[in-house]
Amino acid sequence: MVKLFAIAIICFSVLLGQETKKTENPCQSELIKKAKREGVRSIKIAELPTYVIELWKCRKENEGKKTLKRINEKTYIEDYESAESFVGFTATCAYCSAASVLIFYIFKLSGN
Amino acid sequence: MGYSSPDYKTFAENPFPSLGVTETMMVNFSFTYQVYSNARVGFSEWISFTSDKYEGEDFSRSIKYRAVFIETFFFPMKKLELNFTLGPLINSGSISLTTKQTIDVWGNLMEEFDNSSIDISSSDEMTTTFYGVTSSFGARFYLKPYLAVEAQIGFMENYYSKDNWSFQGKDIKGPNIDVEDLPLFTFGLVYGW
Repeated sequence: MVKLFAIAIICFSVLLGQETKKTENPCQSELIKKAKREGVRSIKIAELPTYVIELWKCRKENEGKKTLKRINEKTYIEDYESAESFVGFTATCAYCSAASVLIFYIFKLSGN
Repeated sequence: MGYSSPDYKTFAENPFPSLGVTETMMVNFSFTYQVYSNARVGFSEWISFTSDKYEGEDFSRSIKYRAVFIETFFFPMKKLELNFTLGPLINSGSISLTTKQTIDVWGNLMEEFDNSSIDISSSDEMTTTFYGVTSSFGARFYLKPYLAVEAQIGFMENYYSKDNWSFQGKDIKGPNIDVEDLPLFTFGLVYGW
């Protein structure tokens, strides 16, 4: 128990002793720049925690809300452009799905 | 939330507990992963659950409709997505009962240690698995890039048989319910990346 307590104190003091690297403007971080350029979906899952922290810091900046708005807008545009119409097999799946639902309700409503 | 209209014939009669809203309203959750520019694969589950007393004992009945599906989608306009879902269903049903009873051997053992006999709680369940297909289409509106509201209309076609239940490893007969062709309406929040 005493050993664990000593280890915890040492770890805690080492963590406190670390200098945090301060960027001048969190809204200018690489991930936020990438999100502004290519939308939120370009951020990989592994980069997500860092991105969320940077975004949180960015919100507090003067231009923070404007940056967030730009990222959101870019994401909507990217989503729209990447899936504006069906490509390849996806159209077939959609037709099958829509047709089966329509046939089901036609039969259901006609009482069969 | 999912809305459907199954006919739980046996459960609708006494001495079973009343069905209430869980007869038609089901809790639904899904996980999806985008595998293509406009296609996702996912897993979805709708749960119909009742828990109450049966002849004074704890009774619960649950039917879980599980789908592994492919969902294709496109954006007719910014923030608005239309999606189409298709997939097989692997469903399960379970009925469990927890009873309290006195077992002589346990009673004798308790008395050996100068205790009075104690009620033993015993719980077991009967289960079934049945298959089906589901299909639906709907619309999703993005409030934020990571948050959307979604509404879907579709159906579930199930192949349920009351003869396919099992209890303690033995084949038994189960309740008479009609879940063959169910209309399905779902409404929910979508959160994700």
